[in-house]
Amino acid sequence: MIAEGEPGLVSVVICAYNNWPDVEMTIASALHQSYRPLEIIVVDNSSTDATPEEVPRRFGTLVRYIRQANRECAGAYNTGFAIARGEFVQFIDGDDVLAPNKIEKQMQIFKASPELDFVYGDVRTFQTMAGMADWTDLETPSGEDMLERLVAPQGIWLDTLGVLSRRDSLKRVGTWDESLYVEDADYWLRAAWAGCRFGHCPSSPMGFKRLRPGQKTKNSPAMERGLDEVWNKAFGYINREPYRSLLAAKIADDKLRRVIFRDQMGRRQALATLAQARATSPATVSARTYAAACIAVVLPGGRSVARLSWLGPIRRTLASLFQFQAASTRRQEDASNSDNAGRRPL
Amino acid sequence: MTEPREIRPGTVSVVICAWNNWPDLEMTIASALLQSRQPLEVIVVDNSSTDATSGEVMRRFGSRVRYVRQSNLGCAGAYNAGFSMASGEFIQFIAGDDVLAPNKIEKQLEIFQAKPELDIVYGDIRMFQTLSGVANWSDFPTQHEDDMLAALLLPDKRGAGIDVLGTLFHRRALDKIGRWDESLYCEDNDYWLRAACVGCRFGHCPGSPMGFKRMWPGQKIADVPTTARGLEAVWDKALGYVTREPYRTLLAERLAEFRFYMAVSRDGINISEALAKLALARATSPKKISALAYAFGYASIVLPGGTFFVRSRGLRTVRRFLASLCCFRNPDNETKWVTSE
Repeated sequence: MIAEGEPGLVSVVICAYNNWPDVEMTIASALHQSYRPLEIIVVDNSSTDATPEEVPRRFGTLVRYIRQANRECAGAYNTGFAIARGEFVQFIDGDDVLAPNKIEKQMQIFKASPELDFVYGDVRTFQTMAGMADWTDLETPSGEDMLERLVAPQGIWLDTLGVLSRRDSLKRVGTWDESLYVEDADYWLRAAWAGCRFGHCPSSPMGFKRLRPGQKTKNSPAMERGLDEVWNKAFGYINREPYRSLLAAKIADDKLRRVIFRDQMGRRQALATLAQARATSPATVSARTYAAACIAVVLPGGRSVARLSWLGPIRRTLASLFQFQAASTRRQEDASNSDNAGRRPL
Repeated sequence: MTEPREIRPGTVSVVICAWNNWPDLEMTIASALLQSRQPLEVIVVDNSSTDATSGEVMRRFGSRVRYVRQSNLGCAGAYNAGFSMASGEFIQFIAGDDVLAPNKIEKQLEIFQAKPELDIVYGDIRMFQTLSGVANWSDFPTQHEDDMLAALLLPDKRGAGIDVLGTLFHRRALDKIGRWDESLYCEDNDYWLRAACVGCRFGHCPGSPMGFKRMWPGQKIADVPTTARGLEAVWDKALGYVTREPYRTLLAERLAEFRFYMAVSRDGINISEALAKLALARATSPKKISALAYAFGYASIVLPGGTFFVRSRGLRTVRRFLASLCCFRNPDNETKWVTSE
């Protein structure tokens, strides 16, 4: 690894995996930034499409192209970062697009506040195929305590596409965890836990994130398992209050939501998950909430009734009776109505 | 139109219509200036913005863009003014809050190069929203069209999905079609129809999106009654110049059907206006709006609960049955379009 970054240089690390021809737009969006100087590193996770021929043919020496065994995005980011020479680093998925002034805007913020480690901003979603839009774009507003906002049950989601990172800060956080499915949630959580300072870049979007048809699977089980892993891992190292309690509440909240909204979960497993939720955070899942959820699981059709959208007001009343935060009920409904688009690609 | 001083072959002029779009406009201008294909010139026509636009454009971009300020003549007026100044062989029009894909011009110029006989090259665009929240719209796909005029007129073709943002014009096409109509609300729909009518050759650019179009709350196409009136005006105007068959019949039927839905969905109009619209629909195409359809329409306007009948999702099957009685083609798509929130 190169020890010192080249001052002012921004390295863009692109993770490509069978993204041709979309990756052409991604590379172009990095090459044609209003900010200079830049270096572009394309890490190809063994694409089997035209990527290995087309990228060198189209872009030649404008990009550094590396091919490696498929180690997912985390592995590509690690490889790219290891050879990156820039003082700042942008990570991007091979089918997303950077806004043309993204790096310039965020570099201005780094310049104005040199103590910052990361600068983040909003990203917006677009879809691969034409048709009905059905996602939720999440807001990433400015705020004080990034760690609190990441672990809170109604927390925010940091999208890697919208973040510009300082090289030294990345070194401090460490490598991307290649064993995880949702490596970015883990990464920003670890960065916040390590005490990194996050700056916000307001107004127009930092970039555009592609939503592929396969991603649309509502509340995909793989995604849920992936997030579960991330939160469980975080529970192992986040030992300071109030973050630990917040995280416990988030985990309990997620588990409860999964019990109600996942039909594939068998009754026994559902009850076990409920018990785990209650054990993780008795404050979030009160005895009465626990009892009501158990009834919904045990009674035939109980979970479908619990999901009916027109029962929302009744559910909310019940939830407030059980001191289960009304907001988390609302979030359950949101989750049932929208997919994971804003949260995380699959 | 003032004749430009000199046309520079191979150059692309990007004409940006700006109206109170700062700071979004900054991204738009950057997306034009930083295209992968050069040379190009960027012309910002400011429709008398009252925000920071006038100061900021000059300060940020200086001589890299040509900036003109004029009274607010809508997008059409800005496009006309921009084109009259443009010196490029190819012209890209764009609204001041949308974004060009970084390789948009390059990809479309490759198609022009491969087929020099083309006048217009178009491709897909994708929408994004200004504010966070739930997205609800449809992106329309584009594809190669053998008969662009028919594609523009057939209701299930959705105007071929063509959009100004996703299109690159050869200058001769603009000379052939003429000025953007500043009196229309939906000036782009009018422009495509006229382009197809004067025989412009359209080429399709496949693959990744040509650009990203901003959806903001209260945007043109979200304002259903005004857009409906705007489209009606476009098609009514088109009846004056689409003289060839079968296009004229297609157009009349489309307009009649559209007026019929405007009448029965009663978006922002009262009963007497609705009845007048219904009569106009029948007059536009008596074949399309049969006496029976007219009677059903009349009943749904006059009878209490008629609007509910027309709009209710649950009654779709009944409507479809009635429509089939009246030989209507595909009523529910259209109703959904007109009455969508």
